[in-house]
Amino acid sequence: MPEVARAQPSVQVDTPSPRKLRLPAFSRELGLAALTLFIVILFSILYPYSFMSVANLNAILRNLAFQGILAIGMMMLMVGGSFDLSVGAMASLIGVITGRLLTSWNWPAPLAILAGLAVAAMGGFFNGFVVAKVRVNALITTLGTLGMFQGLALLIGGPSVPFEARFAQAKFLGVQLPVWLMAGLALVAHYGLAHTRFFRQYYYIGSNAKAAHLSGINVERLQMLSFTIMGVIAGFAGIVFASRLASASSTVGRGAELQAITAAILGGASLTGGKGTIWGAMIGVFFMALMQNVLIISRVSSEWQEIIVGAVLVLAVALDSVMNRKRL
Amino acid sequence: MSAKTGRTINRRQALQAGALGALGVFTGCEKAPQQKRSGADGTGRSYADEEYVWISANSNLPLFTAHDHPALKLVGEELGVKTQIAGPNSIDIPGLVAAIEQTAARKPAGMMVVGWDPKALVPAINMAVEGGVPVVCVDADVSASKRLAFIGTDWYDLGVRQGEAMIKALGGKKGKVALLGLIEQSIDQQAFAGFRSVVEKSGVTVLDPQQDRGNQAEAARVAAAIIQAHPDLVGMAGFDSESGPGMGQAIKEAEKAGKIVATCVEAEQQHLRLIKEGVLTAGVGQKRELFTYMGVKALFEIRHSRLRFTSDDGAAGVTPIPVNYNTGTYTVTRENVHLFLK
Repeated sequence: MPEVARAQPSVQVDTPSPRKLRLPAFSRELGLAALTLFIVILFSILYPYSFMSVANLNAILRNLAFQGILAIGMMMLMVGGSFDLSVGAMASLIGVITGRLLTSWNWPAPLAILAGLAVAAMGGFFNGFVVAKVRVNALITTLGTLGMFQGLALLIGGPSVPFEARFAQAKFLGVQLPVWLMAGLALVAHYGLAHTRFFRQYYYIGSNAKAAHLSGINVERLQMLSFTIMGVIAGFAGIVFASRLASASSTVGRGAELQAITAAILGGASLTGGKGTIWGAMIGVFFMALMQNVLIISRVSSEWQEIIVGAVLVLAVALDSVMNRKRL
Repeated sequence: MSAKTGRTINRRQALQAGALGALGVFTGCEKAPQQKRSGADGTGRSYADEEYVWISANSNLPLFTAHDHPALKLVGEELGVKTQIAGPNSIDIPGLVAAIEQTAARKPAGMMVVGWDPKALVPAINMAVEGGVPVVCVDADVSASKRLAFIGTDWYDLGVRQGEAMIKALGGKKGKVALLGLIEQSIDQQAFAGFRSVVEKSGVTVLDPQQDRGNQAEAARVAAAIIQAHPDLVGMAGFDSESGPGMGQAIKEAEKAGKIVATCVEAEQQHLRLIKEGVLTAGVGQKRELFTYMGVKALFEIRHSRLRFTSDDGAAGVTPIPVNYNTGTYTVTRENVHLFLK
């Protein structure tokens, strides 16, 4: 495994130290967390019964789990300077494949799920191979595979496939399993990205891939690995969501990729890479879900909801950018 | 014959055999000409060279692939004509316009266009008709264009059917009813109006429609928030194919099954299972297969009908087909769901 510490003195690299890396991202996360808290308090006062109820908080969490799981993978990818537009289609495809194995082929649930995740890993690896080895732009590659995965999902599943493994409908402490799965995955990913030397290499790749390569980091291998992990996470999200619905819809992931990217950026990631944390992505996902929820609770019309959510997103990122510039 | 000469001849023979073999392979790849069928007009003529094209945005939408596309293939086989699917795989209106224009340029026997945008598609459809390509709209209309007919569901009527199912299930109960759908789509707006025309008369309050983006996950999220926002909610009605399953999921998870009346459009297997479970109250299904089936037949009639209304119908602008085909709907409830479940 290449030594990250070796990277700094050996070449003249514009690679920030871990402390510097964390500080700006932390600020955005903190700002977003404060804004989120402010919205929660404000709407708790305005709508004490409909907003601040256990049932509503449960509904928010339950419905953000799918995007949340995808955002975890997306954040890992974006830290390394890449992104994946095929994750929504991959989620749909893996849900449908697993559903087919369960219902049409009568495979036992663990085996069907493992097979689904294996296909997801292959799909992710394919993306990574084309981006890292063939050197095709990630946008073009994953836009292409988005179409491929979506088409395959429709071909295999038609409109939808019954999903007989309903484990995601289980509850623990009153909260549905997908939320716990998302939280567990977030903890593991956070530990990996923040505390292991191996995954911290992605920060160096995202900051300056050429310098990272010159300092001995195997950029290609790590990029392929990050796409493979993203594929598996997307497949996992698809399986969990299909299990929650007891039905795998072949279009359920449409648009989910942009929501995951938006959540990651809100939570501190940068499209150019090198920045972001998992807990930032989690705050980003929660913030988006919260915004959508409070606008419905406060009976804002659909058209205005889109305007307000869009404006808040631009404002949040712009504010962070201005504050960062002032700090410099 | 020397050994060398013999080898040369052998090589030449081998090359010739190879060339002949390759020719055989390539000619074998080409499909044999279609059997001449007895024409659908009873003249015994073949129409195998005629091509009828169905064009839509989101052209691989599961509903299309499950209903519209198989019926298109079937009618093509019945009439002995070629059928083709075209259009972008996302809701891409410029892409749809380009698909209409490019298809019209190659002069097919007829085109069916799904009117995703009632205004933006007008010039492209008009250009095709003026260029001599008959065009009918299917599923969603572009009434301002020169299309020759519209074949599809009357969405106002579909809204009325949902409203009637809602009122029946509410049994005189008053409160609020929420609407979900693709709020920007004109067909959904027609359905909302039809629904309101029935439900508001009975003293139930109909809330402003909410956007679910035609996505099940989004519909579940929006429906869950609506349930929390309105404690006096008595019903929900969904108007795109993904609204029903999304609403059903939110109702089930909020443990409101049977307490909130839920009606939806479409009756796919997922909808039917939720109706059987008692989570959804009613589903209003469209006879989608008729869109493409009747579409090709209408276009075929325009080309081959022996009916004559004037001395020159073409010059007079008279076509031998109806202008509007209402393909109708059917309502599925817990009582008859077993007839629809596969």
